[in-house]
Amino acid sequence: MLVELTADSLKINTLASIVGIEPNEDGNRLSEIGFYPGKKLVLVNAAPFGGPLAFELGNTVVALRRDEARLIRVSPLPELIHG
Amino acid sequence: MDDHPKLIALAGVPNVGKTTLFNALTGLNQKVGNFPGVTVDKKSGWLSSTKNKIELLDLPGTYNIHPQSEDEEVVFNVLCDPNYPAQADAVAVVVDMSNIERGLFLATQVIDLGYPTAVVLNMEDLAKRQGVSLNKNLMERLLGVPIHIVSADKGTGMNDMKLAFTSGDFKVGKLSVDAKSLFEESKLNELQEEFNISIPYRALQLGKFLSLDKDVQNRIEKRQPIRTDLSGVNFSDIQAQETSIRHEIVEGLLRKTLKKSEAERPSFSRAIDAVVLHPLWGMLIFLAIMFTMFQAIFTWAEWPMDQIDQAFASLSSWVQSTLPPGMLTDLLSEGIITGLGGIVIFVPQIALLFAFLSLLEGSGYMARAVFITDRVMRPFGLNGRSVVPLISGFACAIPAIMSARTIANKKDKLITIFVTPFMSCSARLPVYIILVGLLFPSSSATFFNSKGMALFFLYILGILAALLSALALKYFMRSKKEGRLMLELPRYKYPNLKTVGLTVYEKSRTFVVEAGKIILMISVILWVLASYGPGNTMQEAAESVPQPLNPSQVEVQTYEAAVASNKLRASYAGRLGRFIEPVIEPLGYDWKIGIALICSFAAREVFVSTVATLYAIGDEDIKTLQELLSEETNDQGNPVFTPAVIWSLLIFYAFAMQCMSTVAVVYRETKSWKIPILQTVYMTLFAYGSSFLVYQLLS
Repeated sequence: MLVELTADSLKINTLASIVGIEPNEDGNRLSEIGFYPGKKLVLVNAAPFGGPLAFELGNTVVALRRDEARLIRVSPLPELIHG
Repeated sequence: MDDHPKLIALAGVPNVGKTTLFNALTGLNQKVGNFPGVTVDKKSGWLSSTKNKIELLDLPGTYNIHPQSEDEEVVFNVLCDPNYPAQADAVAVVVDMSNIERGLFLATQVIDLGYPTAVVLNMEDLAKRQGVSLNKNLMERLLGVPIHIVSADKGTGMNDMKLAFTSGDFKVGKLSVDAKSLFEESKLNELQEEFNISIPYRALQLGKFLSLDKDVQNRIEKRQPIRTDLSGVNFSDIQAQETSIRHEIVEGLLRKTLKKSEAERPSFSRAIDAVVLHPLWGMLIFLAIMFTMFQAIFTWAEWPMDQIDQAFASLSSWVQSTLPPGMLTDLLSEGIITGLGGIVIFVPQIALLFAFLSLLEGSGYMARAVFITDRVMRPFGLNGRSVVPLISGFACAIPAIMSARTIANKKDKLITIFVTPFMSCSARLPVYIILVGLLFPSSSATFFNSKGMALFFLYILGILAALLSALALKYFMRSKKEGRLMLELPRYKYPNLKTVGLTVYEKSRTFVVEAGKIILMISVILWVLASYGPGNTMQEAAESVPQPLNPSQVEVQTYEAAVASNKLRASYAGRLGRFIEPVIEPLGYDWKIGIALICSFAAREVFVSTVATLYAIGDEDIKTLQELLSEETNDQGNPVFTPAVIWSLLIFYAFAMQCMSTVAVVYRETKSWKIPILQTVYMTLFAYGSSFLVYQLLS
């Protein structure tokens, strides 16, 4: 069964697949920079005290604030990339 | 194409090496200006060929053509607004070959806008190392535009591309998304007709833009409301629909043309990031880099600044002694040459700061610094991008404010520019040192002595004033939503030294040429105020000092100092000092301090030399100055410089603007007098209020 959560609640170094993006202005912007359904992402770094999160997305790393990451619905995949 | 393009726009998403490519194509044959209405650098250069002179316009890096930041607005205007002054004849879209998918999205948008286009796949060397292989011919056929594979860093493929550019090898490509599938056709026709645009997708973009953001809209030339009825059209949905179609098309295209030997290992960049973005180590590395940079601007700039100071001083006295004495000679030697010196003296700091910043930017570190500090800045309505200008403000607000240009969000940029002068810059230090020395005349040389503590306290005060003002501005500007971060962390790489050099040159030149005019003007005015008085009061003031009978060297010096002091007291500036005495009395200042305040409006460090002249101290030796100041009494015979007055002055100099170069740079960066005037008034009131409180509490 697929578990669905938002990208801000992912654990570090878990591979996840994007299920959907919140359909609003910020969500549109996220899609345009490459976060769109079907793409895989990995949370690679998290700044402390609720700071930004860095996601590896294909060949790029994009930093998002937590409330921006919350617009991305993901489902974690069982395989670990590394770490 | 039959016609050769006259203006080629260079577009691309951020971090694809567009700037390096631009610099490689144009070299020093470029100019930096401003796009109208926004504070975005407009870089353009010339591609020379035997027959044609072609202008190449470097657009800011953006992910798409939907304008939300100033950078995107520029790209939108150039590509979509038919009334915009800069109209591209052809567009070259730069794409990172090791990450084609990300850049192709923008490329298909440009093609859909109907421009003769060429796609430049940059960073071929990196793509090769990552095992990317591309069927170029097939991709050219599918997109319908020429493709150039280059490496701007290594210089490969550049000549062929340049040749293709100058011979006009751009093609109108195949539509990826048909505007008619997104939007009601009759409305689309109406829009095309109204804007007189033959390309449906371009008309759609302009229609969307004009019906969306009122704030942005006001700033573009064409202000009349659009006639086409767009009520009930959900542009956000249309955009989402377009994005998803486009992604599918790009994916399909890459499936057919791109092969990647799949060997995904944790990359070099990721290994560095494990340390650089680490919650603890990352912060320490950031602080270490900032500390080094700050130290460098502070100490390395000292020597060249001294040289410049001396050079202008000797030029000034050379002119004074060579030209026939008179008003014109005085104006030239004391007004203009000294004023020019006051401009050029900032160049070492500007050059050093921008050398550091462009090294950090070029290596990919800058985005990491933003990542690390974003959390700290957020409560104050700022993002991580503001940290570097603020920290640089410790050295000098002028380059710091110039560096705020990289902040994409307009509101964040404005707040950062507004509060940066509160940071205690190096010009405050001489004032602090004199006054703190008066406060604690004898002080042990231990690490934690009272002088050091007082200085530290003043620096902290500056930071607090900056952050609290940012917070107040955030509420005042009442922006509906918080700015975004959404920031790409690019791969680490060796910074391109040519780019660093060009940045340093360009920033220094801009400061001297553009801010310099205003600085020169104000300094000449201030010089006139301090050197002339009404009628022949100045002469009388000078004559009132008795001539020494036996002119020994000491007596001549004392005499000259007394004359200078009397003249300054009788000058317009002296009169202004008396005039403002009632206003500054509640702060504990007398009219003499008033004169020092007026004269140091141009630059706070002038306080020291003005006080030296005022109290007729021949040389500016700090010890002598401090001794004499501590002996200074008022008419009742009480000391003038009581601790309450000194603290009140320290606080005033910590908070007041007192730097015309900053005012000029803020004007240059915000393109209006509104912000610099507001800022000066705000800072002066802030300083006045705080000094008032301090004096009243302490006295």
